[in-house]
Amino acid sequence: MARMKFICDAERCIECNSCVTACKQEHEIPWGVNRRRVVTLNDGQPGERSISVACMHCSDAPCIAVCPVDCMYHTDEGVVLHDKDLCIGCGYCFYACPFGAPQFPQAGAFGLRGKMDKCTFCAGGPEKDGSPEEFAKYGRNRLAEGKLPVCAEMCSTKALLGGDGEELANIYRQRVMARGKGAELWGWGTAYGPGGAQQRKRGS
Amino acid sequence: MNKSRIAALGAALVAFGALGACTENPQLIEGQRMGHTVVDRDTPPWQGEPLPFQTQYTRGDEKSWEKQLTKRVQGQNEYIRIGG
Repeated sequence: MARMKFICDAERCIECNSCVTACKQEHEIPWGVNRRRVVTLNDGQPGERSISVACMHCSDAPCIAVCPVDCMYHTDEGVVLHDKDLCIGCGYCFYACPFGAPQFPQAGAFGLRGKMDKCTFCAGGPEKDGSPEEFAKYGRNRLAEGKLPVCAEMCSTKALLGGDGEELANIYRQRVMARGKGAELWGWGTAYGPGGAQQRKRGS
Repeated sequence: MNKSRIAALGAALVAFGALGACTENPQLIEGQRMGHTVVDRDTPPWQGEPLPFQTQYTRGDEKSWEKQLTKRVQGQNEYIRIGG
């Protein structure tokens, strides 16, 4: 069983924002909602680094723990999804998330929040796979189509990798060995804990 | 005696009816289980009818789906793609 994860290689990310654009285009994300965004540290300074950030689909997801209506869940592949029919837009998940992943479309005047929206690892939601209802609420279900998240597959420098955690770790290890630096994976420990690549199955 | 019995029975009935309002209807939709993080209503991604834009894997066959995803993951490894 695959255990889906993201890796962003800060040595490679060039802040082109193609992951952001691809995500918005693929899922027809409304204005004001960014499921993925690129964060640049020390912009313009020596040692500047950029990373692409979205929901990391944490192994022990704090958003799931705090959701008062229990609308969030893990799939067997380790993807954190949510049910928009249950979401009340309270914003607890936003406060709990270490990556700022949950997004809330404006639903009216005076900052009224709509239902939470976030990266689905291109895995849709509880609706029937590939159905118009699923697309309208969660975007395209590429995982059911046998594809990986569009942000990772579109990344021009392959800084962003998505897929089974163990295979990604092997790719990254080979890359680090070849270039001899940049072994740090930002967010990896926060999302998956120490030795995250070894967590093959939920609960193991 | 008989009157007091009837009065007691009536009081019991009223109390039973009043306490009936204290019940709580279940607020979970079908398939959802509080305290768990897996919603049963979601199906695995490889199950279901063939999709219009799916890649070359057999829908319904988990092994086939996993093989296809492994192929896609390795497509992100340029050390394999360019033979470096």
